[in-house]
Parts: sequence; structure tokens; C-alpha cells
Amino acid sequence: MKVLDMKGIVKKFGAEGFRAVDGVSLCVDSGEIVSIIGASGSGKSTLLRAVCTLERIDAGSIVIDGDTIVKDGVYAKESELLRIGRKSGMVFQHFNLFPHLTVLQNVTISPVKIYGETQDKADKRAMELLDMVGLANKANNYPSQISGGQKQRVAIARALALSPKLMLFDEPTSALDPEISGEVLQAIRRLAKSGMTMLLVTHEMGFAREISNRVVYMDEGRIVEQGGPDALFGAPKSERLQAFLQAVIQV
Amino acid sequence: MEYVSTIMPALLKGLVTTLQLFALTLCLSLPLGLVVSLGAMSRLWPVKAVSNVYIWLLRGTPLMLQLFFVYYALPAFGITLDRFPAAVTTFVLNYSAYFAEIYRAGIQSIDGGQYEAAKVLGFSRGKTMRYIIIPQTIRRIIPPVTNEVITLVKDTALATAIAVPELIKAAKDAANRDVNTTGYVIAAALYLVLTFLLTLVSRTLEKKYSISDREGGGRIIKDKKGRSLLLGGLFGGSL
Repeated sequence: MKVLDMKGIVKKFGAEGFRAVDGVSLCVDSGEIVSIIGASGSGKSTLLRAVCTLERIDAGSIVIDGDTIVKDGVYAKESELLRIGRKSGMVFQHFNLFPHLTVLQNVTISPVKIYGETQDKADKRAMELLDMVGLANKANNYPSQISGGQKQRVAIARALALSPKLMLFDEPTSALDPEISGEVLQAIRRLAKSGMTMLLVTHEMGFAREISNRVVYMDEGRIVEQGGPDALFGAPKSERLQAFLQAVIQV
Repeated sequence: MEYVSTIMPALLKGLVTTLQLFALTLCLSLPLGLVVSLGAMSRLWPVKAVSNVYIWLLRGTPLMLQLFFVYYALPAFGITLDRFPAAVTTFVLNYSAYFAEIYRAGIQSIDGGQYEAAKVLGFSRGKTMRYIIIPQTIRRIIPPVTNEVITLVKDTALATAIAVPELIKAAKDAANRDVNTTGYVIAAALYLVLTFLLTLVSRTLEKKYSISDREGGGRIIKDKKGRSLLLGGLFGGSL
């Protein structure tokens, strides 16, 4: 069962029509964990952002859990997009928590104000999620009072509050110091064990290898190579991936 | 001292008019400014153009000229206003343009990531503004807004140019009649008391809300409540 089905995605930028994503097709099955790796500017983040409609694609089709977001470059109606939107949860590199709301309010605002849940029910669910990411004791703190790693875990709980079918992570640890990225990776690991379908863009090669069922290598807006993590990292076929892994390891 | 007590009733009456002018201007220009600033950021170009021309005209010409225009020139276009309504109208138009620019700067200072986070959580453009952007903006614009409010207290003196019976007019009348400038001194003292009170209010507000971005605070305003709190605070201090 496919949770995410992308076909022939093209995203152009600027007057020149630079193709940030150039004809990418990618499926993610239920329960599968797929990591996208590649150099900066390879189009991996753009591809991820297209899934949650932060980027509008120029051509191609995206279907999430059987619902069509865009077919051959034509988007569904806004009301449809709103309904389908909650099927994917997004975690950003820079967390993007709402600084004027408490941790708990950050998690409940969308379910309550947008999707009409009662505050009681949303609070209860939020506390479960905060407990899962180990932050139940920070529920009444403001984002400015917690660390970067804690913020990112709150962001994960916030995304989960809409019960998504698919979780998207856009370099979730890139803005964190190495010694605290571990706690975020741990939260993602726990989520993986619970069977959540995930699509990650990451620079953490070790983590990608450990957690993924499949790793996709992108360069210049295209998928160059993909496969199981051990095959991809252990025996890369293409020269470009070999060079990329060489460069990453040296760093 | 005896002289002071003879002119005091007239001065206090002037003070009341000054305060009315001040309060009405604030009540109307703070929300109107929001409308204008949202217009200036609109995606519809005619709305955007009209809002920007409005801001440009009202910030680009002297307030006193605008007073003369509304009071003396508008009757030629069939709009005749009494002195006080003419003054209120002018001040509201003028200050809404300044507030609009403050709001715009505040709204545009909010990080783009806030809009993205709101979007993936299902917020429409309107709900993003209401629940996410404006509550954060309010806290950031408290210092420039209170600054403008203090300026407004002093600007109300300009209404004397169209003979609105406010504090300066009362002082001037007394001075002309009695050939004694004591009235001006008392007026100055009254303005100082007003601006001092407003400064206190603005300090309190800043302490309460502005810093909380960084330190987290503990009493952060919730969406719409924040605005009424802000207004309540300002008027509470001045009336």
C-alpha cells in the first residue's frame, strides 16, 4: 500500500526556469522509512516541501494515502488540500515553533482552531505525544525557555497531533549541536519503531543508514541512485554517489 | 495663586477636550492603521496601491496642513465638519498612516518559518494572521506604538490652529485676555504630567510583553485578548 506516490515531479525556479527538481518519481510504502541524501542544491528539500505543498510543482502528480494533491501539474481545490494536508506532518530544520504559545498550545492550536477538536481532547492527546518525546514536564514552558533539541521534539509532537499518515523531516538535526542532535534522532527512532511511514532529508549519513529501509541519492534535481542502506552506502554504483560519500566521510 | 485659580477651570475644560481628542484618535486610528497596513501588504494590486498612496500622502504632508484642508477646504467639496470632528478626522487619518507603517514593519519582521509552519498545520492566510502573526507582532510593536502615542498627546496642540477649544487654546485665550503667560506654564505642566503617565504605562507594557520573546515571560497574551489589554492599558493610564 503506497502512502506517498510522486510521479514526474518538476519544480522550476526563477525567470530562467532552473529545474530544482527535474522529473523525479518516488513512492513510499506504508511503514517504510526513506531517506533522501545529496549535496546542497540537489533538490532534495524542494522535493520534500512539494509533498506538503510548501512548494507548488510545475509538472507531475502527487498522491498521499489515495488522495490526489496534484495531478499532471493541476492542484486540487483549497478545501481538498486542507483536508489532505493533515495526512502529512512536517518537521523543519529550524523547528518553527510559535514563540507566543506554550509547548502544549503549540501542539494543540491546529487540532483545536483548524480541525475543530475540543480543547480537552486535544490537550489529552498532546500530553501523550509530549510524553512520548520526553517533554511532558515542559508542557507549560514557552519555546524560548527550552533547548534546541527540546524544541525539535516539540515540533515532532506538534506534527503528530494531526495523526498524519506520513511524517516528513527536513534536515531535522542540521540546526543543532552534534551533542544534542542525539535526543532528536532518538525521538525519530522511537517513531520509526511505532511503524510510522517517514520521508527524511538528512545529512546524518550514519543515522540514514541505521534507520532507513531505503536511501535515495539525489543530484542536480534527479534521483541518481537508490536502494537498501547497506547496498547504497557499502557499494555505491554511480561515480557521483561515490564522490559524494567520499566528500561527506572526509568532513 | 489667586490668578491661577481664576484661569484653572478654563484650562481644565481645555484639558478635557485635549483628552477627548487624544482618546478618540487612538480608538479609531489603532484599528484603522491595521486595515491600512493589511491593505498595503495585500496581493490585490489596486488595494495595495490605494493603501500605499494613502500612507504616502498622510505621512508626506504636514499635519497642520491636513487640519486646514479638512476644516477649510473640504466644505468646497460639500463636506462641512465642525472644529472638533474636523480635528478628530484629521488626526485619525494621519495617525492611522503612521500606525500602518509600524504594523507593517512589525508583521514583516516575523520569520517566514512561522508562515510555513502555520501552512503545514492547515492554517489559511487569514487564520495565520489572526492566530500566529498578529499576536507576535503586537508584542514587537509595543515600543514604537507607545512612542507614537506620546507624540500624539503633544500633537493635539496643533488643533488650536483651527480653534478647537483644547488646552493650548484655553491657555492662549487667557494669555491674550489677561496679558499674563501663567496659563502657558500650567499647560506645559499638564502636558508633562500626561506624557509622564504615558511613559510609565509604556514601560510597564514593554516589561510585561516585549521581553517575553527572549525570556519566555510567564504572562504572555493570548490572541485577541492581547489587543484589548494593550488598549485598556493605554487608556487606563491617560484618562
